[in-house]
Amino acid sequence: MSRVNGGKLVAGGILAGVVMNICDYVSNNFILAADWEHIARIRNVDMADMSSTSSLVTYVVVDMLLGLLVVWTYAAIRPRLGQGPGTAIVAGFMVFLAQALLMASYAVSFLTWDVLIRGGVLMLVSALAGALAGGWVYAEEDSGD
Amino acid sequence: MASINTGRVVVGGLVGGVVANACDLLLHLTVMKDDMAAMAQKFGTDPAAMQSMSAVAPWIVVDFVLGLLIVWTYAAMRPRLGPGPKTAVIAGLTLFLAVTAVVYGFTSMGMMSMGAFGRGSTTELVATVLASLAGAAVYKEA
Repeated sequence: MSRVNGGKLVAGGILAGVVMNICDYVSNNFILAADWEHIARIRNVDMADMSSTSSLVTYVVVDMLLGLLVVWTYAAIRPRLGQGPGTAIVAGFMVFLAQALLMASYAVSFLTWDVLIRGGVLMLVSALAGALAGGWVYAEEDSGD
Repeated sequence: MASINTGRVVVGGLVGGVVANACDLLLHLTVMKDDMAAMAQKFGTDPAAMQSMSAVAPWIVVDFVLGLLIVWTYAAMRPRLGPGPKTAVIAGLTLFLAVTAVVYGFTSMGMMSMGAFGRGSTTELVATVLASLAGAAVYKEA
């Protein structure tokens, strides 16, 4: 069994992170903007904190790390499921599901169920788009891709 | 390449879910008790409501689904990384990092203090590793 290609993992992870950042920026600043304002109001969270530069930078870094994680997952499950977009989608879905489970457990105390569902759908789109982009870049020398 | 043994994923996932639930129950009643109370106060949530069955039920279900996901991930990674506890821990850590990244994002939004994040992440790390080891110990391939 060949080893994970570290260089391609990083390259794919960066591309996946960029794609996920774009998706999340559009989701949180446009599609879910009113929802986040509502959550901040009912949960006593300062909107200035939610939209601060440090929060923005954190989310950019988080998405880059998630991009690397999605491509790592793709690389790790490739020998079992085969190379290609189907496996990339599975990898993206695995990462999404772990995140969605966490958000579901927070739904009662912090989020609301409707925000959870809307946010979850957009999070799924982001994870799958990132996984497809990152998986497209990732290749292994002896696999002919 | 043998396919994933679904029956063993389910059994291992249930075992992992029981371990994760036991760890979470213990940790939330001890290490995270004050943090949970502080978060309830900050969010304007009734502490009794946070400990009600409707609030606890999602956590229980989530831990069982997470147990299944961890064991399925372990099974999917086995051909690349080999069977055994090391791969089980890597499978658990992969999902733990995905979850922790989101929680860190919530922390940066002012949802919880860095102290609570540190304590919560450390306790979840322990729960995830133990659940991974327990679930993967059950998983076998034909």
